[in-house]
Amino acid sequence: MEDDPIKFDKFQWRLFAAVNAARETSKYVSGSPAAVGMAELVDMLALPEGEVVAASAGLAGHIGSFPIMVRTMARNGCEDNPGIRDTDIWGCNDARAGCPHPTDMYTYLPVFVGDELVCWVAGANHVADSGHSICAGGVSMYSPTTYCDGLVYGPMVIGQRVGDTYVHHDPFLRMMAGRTRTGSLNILDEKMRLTGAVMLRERVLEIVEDFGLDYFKRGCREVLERERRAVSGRFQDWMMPGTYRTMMFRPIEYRELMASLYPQSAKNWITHHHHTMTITPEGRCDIDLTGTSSQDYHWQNAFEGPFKMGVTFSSIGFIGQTPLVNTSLSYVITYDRPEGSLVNPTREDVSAAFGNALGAMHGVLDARTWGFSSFLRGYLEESYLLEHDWELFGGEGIARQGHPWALGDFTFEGAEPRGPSPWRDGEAMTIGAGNPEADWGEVEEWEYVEPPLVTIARSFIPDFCAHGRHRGAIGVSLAQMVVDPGQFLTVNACGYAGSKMNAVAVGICGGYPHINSKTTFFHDTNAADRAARSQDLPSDHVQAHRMIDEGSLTVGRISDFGGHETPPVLVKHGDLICHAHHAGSAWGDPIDRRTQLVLEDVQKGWISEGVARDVYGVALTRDEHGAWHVDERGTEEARQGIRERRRTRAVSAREVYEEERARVLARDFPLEELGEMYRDSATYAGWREVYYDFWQLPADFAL
Amino acid sequence: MSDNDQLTSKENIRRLVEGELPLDMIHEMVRMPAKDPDRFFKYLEVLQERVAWDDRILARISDHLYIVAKDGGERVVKCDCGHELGDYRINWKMNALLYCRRTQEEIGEVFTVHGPDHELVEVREFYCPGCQAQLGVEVVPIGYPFVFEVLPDLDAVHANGGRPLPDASPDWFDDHTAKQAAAWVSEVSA
Repeated sequence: MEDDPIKFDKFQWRLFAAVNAARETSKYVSGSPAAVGMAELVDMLALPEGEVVAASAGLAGHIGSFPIMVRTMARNGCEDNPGIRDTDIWGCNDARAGCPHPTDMYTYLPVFVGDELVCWVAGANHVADSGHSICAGGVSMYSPTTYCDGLVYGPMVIGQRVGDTYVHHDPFLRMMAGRTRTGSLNILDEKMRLTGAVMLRERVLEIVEDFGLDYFKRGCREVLERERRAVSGRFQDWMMPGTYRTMMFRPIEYRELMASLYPQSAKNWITHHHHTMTITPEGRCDIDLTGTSSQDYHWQNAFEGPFKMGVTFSSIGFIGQTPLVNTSLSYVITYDRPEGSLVNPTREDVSAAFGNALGAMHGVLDARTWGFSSFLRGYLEESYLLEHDWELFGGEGIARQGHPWALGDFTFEGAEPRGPSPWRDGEAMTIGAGNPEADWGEVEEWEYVEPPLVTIARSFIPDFCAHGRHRGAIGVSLAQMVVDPGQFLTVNACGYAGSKMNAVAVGICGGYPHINSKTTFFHDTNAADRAARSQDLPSDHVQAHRMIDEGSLTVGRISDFGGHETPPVLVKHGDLICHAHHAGSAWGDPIDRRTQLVLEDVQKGWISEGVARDVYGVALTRDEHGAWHVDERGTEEARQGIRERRRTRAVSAREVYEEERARVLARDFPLEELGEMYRDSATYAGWREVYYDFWQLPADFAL
Repeated sequence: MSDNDQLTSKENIRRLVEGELPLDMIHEMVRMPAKDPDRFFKYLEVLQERVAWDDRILARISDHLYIVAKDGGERVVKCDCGHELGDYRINWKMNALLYCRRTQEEIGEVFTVHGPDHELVEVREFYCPGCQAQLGVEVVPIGYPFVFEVLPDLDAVHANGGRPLPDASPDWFDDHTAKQAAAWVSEVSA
């Protein structure tokens, strides 16, 4: 390889072209807007032992999970039973085996040259529904046990090549059709994945023919090693060596909902997710997750494949910009996942329906830290806070004529906010972790497959962002009206950014952290009548509440679960559903923000005059033409006033320390589940030491 | 001087720090095939010139906070206003001012559409006692330890750049926060 770098370069780009051509062509076989319109799929080439050498754009987090699944095949003895043959079509969606969650399905082929297995080629995508027993649309945040996970299969042979024709086993397709709510779409997606894999196999055989088998085998490993060195070099050169701590919390509220059907889940939790990251001077990144809560009967159990798929989304985005997206990252970034915790479950019966969402948020904790670390090292151009704020919603119903149907909506998954840098604001709808380009998809395309959900607005929500010297991305709204839902329709929402608590727990440099999202259902409204009369409808939940207060919007009742995680909610004609998502983190103290930037935000309608004054300390005046101007003297006084208020409101940290220590010693927590969270985390040795040392608790004290 | 040397000149790093560097130049920096290896020290020089005091900056740990070397051999956290927050191995938050937002109304002042639930978390704002700059924010449940966001390996980063610190010692990369807590608790007990 060293002797002929141009040949090696050609080899790399042949791999690149092969995986991306497979993706770009095969997506047209699908019928799902997520695949066709937003390209939510990925094609991969992997070594026989599972390491992904090259992945296409889109959903590239699967490079973290595919190797786990191949290792599971080895552990399960698949080489002996059923055996691995040149003509096989394999499939899998089992999270315990390594797949991210049942809604992410893999179709993959072994590639043989002679009798030798030289690589795997795979297609993967997120389907519209995988048959979860409670939550339609593959967004399963109400999932008490694994027996609710829906259709789970593989790794197994799902078809064969006969001559030049690839044939799925008919019972497999019937199972796909019968055990999921979107069978016809899923079968098209299955054929899409197979198409990509077949195309990729043919390209690989051409590459082997052109370069020789030995070169192919050595070249694939050389790709991995070169990119490992590149990633390691970034940690070594771009980042501040040291130890970093960050964390997030997530509430789960099952107590009342599960009480009669799933007693093992009839409780509430607050789960703790803790990262101690050490960036070494040699260019390694070791992340210890000790302190993370224990596995239990809810949705947050992240087995190895789901966890690694989730974290890889972030690491690719931040640190893995190498020519070929591949598994080299995992040689540099290591995770210590305590056994029995949510990030390394051991029980067979806990749900594995959506652990990848948890993994993705763990990845956000890491990428934010890397952004902060680059700032400390002086490479501000590389420094930004990665947000990973996928919010999805699903639903199911029976149409008027008796036809059952379901939906899995990716609108908020296609385009996420980019967090701020030390030199610029966060920006809405800028990054697509699942796509090469951020894309919400077309409203019309979504309405085609979800006809009762009519989009009445996609818009920014004023004042909905974390405030700081550089503010977070302005949060966005999707407002929908239910029109003719048929015999019934339920909608359930989910997401990664958390409910009732911020998406991440720690802000950066005095800015406020990434805000939780929210979905609100307004039932029995007069919205349909207003629409018929061409009267205004609300563009977001804030405006809806304002119209209710004013009396222009009438509402029978409101379903508000405090966040964006909702169980299935029955909706009727004229109901409104308002999603408010993607309000990103800020960087720095809000009163350090340049007045001109605050002025521009007010002029655009993104920040209100009141927030400009009270949070940013910027006084504005308005002239007779309605134009805003900064009142320099008023601003100076307002900022001085904020400083004075801080001085008078605050106490020494020691005073708070002593007060909270007394509460810890008295086990005086506002909620029972908080006490339980602390008790549980302290069963893990490393975290017990951190907690007991900080609060100076006696060794025999029981939380 | 190469194009990349010009792009990453000290003056341009200063403009980057001040938020004055045009976006296209920042994008050019991102696209450079290799980073300028002396960036860390250029960065420290730029930061040193922005503050009114003379203690040598060893690292930056927040918008307003630095770790500086004192004449007596200590390494302490110092705000750009000049206020010092103690040995950098102790979480600087222990020596800051702290305001905890614990009611929904208080939280709503800064999370201005919807925010975290006051039954689950408090919003901790850490201020500099000298200039009241907001140095850090935590949104955590009551009873959660103050988060020690970063303990940099100062000796390593300086040595990697070819300028090892004269007083390098493994003890510098060691969390001493619990010692501060123990001292407080023992004073109260006494």
